[in-house]
Amino acid sequence: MKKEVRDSLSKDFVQQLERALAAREETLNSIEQQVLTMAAVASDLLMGLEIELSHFPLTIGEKTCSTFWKWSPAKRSAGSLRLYLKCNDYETGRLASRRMVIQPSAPGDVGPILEDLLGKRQSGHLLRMISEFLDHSDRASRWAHQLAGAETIRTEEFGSVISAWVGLLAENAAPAATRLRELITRFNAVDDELRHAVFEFNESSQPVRYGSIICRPDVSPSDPLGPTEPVFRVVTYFNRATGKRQTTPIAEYKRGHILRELRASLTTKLGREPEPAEVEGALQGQRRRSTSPWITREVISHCYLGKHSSNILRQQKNIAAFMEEWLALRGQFQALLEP
Amino acid sequence: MTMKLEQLIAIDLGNGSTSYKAGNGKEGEFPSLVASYTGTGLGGALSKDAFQTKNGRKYLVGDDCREEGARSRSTDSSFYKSDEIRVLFLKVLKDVGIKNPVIVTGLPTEFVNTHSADFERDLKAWAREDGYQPEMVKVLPQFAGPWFDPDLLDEEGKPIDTTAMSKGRWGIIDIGYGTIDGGGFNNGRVSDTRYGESSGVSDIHKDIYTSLSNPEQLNDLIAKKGAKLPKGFTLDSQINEYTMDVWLREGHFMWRGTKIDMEPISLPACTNFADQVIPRFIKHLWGSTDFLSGMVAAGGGATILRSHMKRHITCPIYCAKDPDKSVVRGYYRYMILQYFKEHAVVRQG
Repeated sequence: MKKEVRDSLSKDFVQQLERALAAREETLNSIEQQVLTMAAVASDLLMGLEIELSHFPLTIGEKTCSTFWKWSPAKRSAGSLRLYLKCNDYETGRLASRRMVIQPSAPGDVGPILEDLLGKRQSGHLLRMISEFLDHSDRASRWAHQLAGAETIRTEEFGSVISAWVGLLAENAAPAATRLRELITRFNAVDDELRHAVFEFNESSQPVRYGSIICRPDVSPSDPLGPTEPVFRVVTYFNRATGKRQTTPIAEYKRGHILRELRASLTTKLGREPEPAEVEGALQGQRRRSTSPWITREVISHCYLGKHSSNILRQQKNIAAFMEEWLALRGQFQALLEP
Repeated sequence: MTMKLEQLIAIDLGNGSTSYKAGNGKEGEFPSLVASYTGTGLGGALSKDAFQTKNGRKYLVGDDCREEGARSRSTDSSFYKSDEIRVLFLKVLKDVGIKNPVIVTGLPTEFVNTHSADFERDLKAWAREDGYQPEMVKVLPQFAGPWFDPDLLDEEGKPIDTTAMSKGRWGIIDIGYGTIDGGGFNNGRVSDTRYGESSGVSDIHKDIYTSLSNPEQLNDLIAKKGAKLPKGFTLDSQINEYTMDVWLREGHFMWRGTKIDMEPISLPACTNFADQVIPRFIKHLWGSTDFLSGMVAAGGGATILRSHMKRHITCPIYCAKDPDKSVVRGYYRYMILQYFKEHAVVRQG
């Protein structure tokens, strides 16, 4: 096929891929920046929140309410921070003290108390600010833990829970950002190797025909981490005149085959065309594992690629080796991006 | 409707001057002086820009009424309900020209809990009466201003590290025109101890004015050679304590064609104020500044008293290049951080 025809056919995909790669670079840079500034942002949010909390302690009738911070350890992060409301009540003549966590997503009993103390509008605003601060602190806590191994705060040294908390983030921001940069550099290196291996694979499957196997990532404009891992795909439609083609991922291709085989065996068994529900039921009964995305000898023979099989399997092995580390790193970035 | 940055106006209704910074790029400052305009529109009034509110009354605002003998504001809470503050506020809205503003301003720390709801309501009502549709009015405690100022520098001129501000004890000293206001953060939490008193830069102006009225006595206090007041020096009837503000800002004034330096003349008054007020303020709030991690200094007084503060404040001092704008910049930044995040840039580099 002429180069111009090929180029015009692949133009859309190439553009999408470039956009996805740019989006990935932007996402990784932005997360690195966020990790680097996590303590400064926490401190800004905290100061803003403290301006609102400076109205406390508040007294209504015999009830006096104040706030305090509490930190508790957590498995997958450097601990979680929560704000508590403490109410001292002398209404019955005796001191009754209650401590309640302020959970903005589910204010529970605390909601009405805050409304009594601050009014509806201001308590809503306070809850929003607390929610924003806690969201940031939970994310930053995961970053500090995942990237710098931070586990606990040093309250005694800093004098208060909240000060020790910001201190922990401040101490870990730079090491965490450095570690993230190392991971990004490593990821880019592995990505280069992987793309090279994929390029070689695709080059050796030229010229493409019906039943050729190619390899390319999926691109979705909504994925901040850009292209997915490369996926092996079988060409299931090919127009020799125009060069247009359709491809099916190997996993789906295999599923299609299984269904076809099952349908054929059911037809012989029942002596008629099976209903879709019957096929589904028979498939469930077989307790098959979900199909893997890898090329097998069976797929190769289905695609009439027998003479290339050793080459294809060798190249697949090469791609799989890079893909393992590539996926592990991408998974780590994905975890850092979680809200 | 979502709020846009272009709607934001931060206003510092200070005792000495009113300053503002708006999201549409406008910023400015004028003396917090208001006088009813009684002129007929002829003669001298031509040079003056009378400010008219929707109720038909005319006022002279800012520099235009220095000579009219407008009184500077009192510092009790009743001021925040007065016609004077209404006019200053409306003048800012007019200068900025935003029809549906998002307004942020402050109250002295001691009034916030008791007066902020009323003040918010009044500001909204005043704006509506004059044809604006305020989308939001936020009243902050005054100490929040310097605390959020993005331009705070350490003594070597480097930007402050905000994360350090949540460790240890930090003080805030805001020396305004008529008041001195203070508070602090203690290990990341707002401290309960707050203090304010009704002395400020206006006391220094008064003191300089009084001392210039007795040139011989003042000359005895001036140590610098060649800086003494010339023979025959007297003040005339057009000079008042507000003139001292202008001279101090300019650093000099002209007398019979000779340039007279303000620095040695103002030194005794500044020393006097700093030695009396600052130690008293420190004693009330912290006892001493020896154990503070830092002190954020703001307000017009921080400019005039910069060299004197160091004698009494023993911890590192953090201050912007133009501390008189610290409060308004801080209010502005607070709102950006809370409501216009997409425009927020982390303070330090």
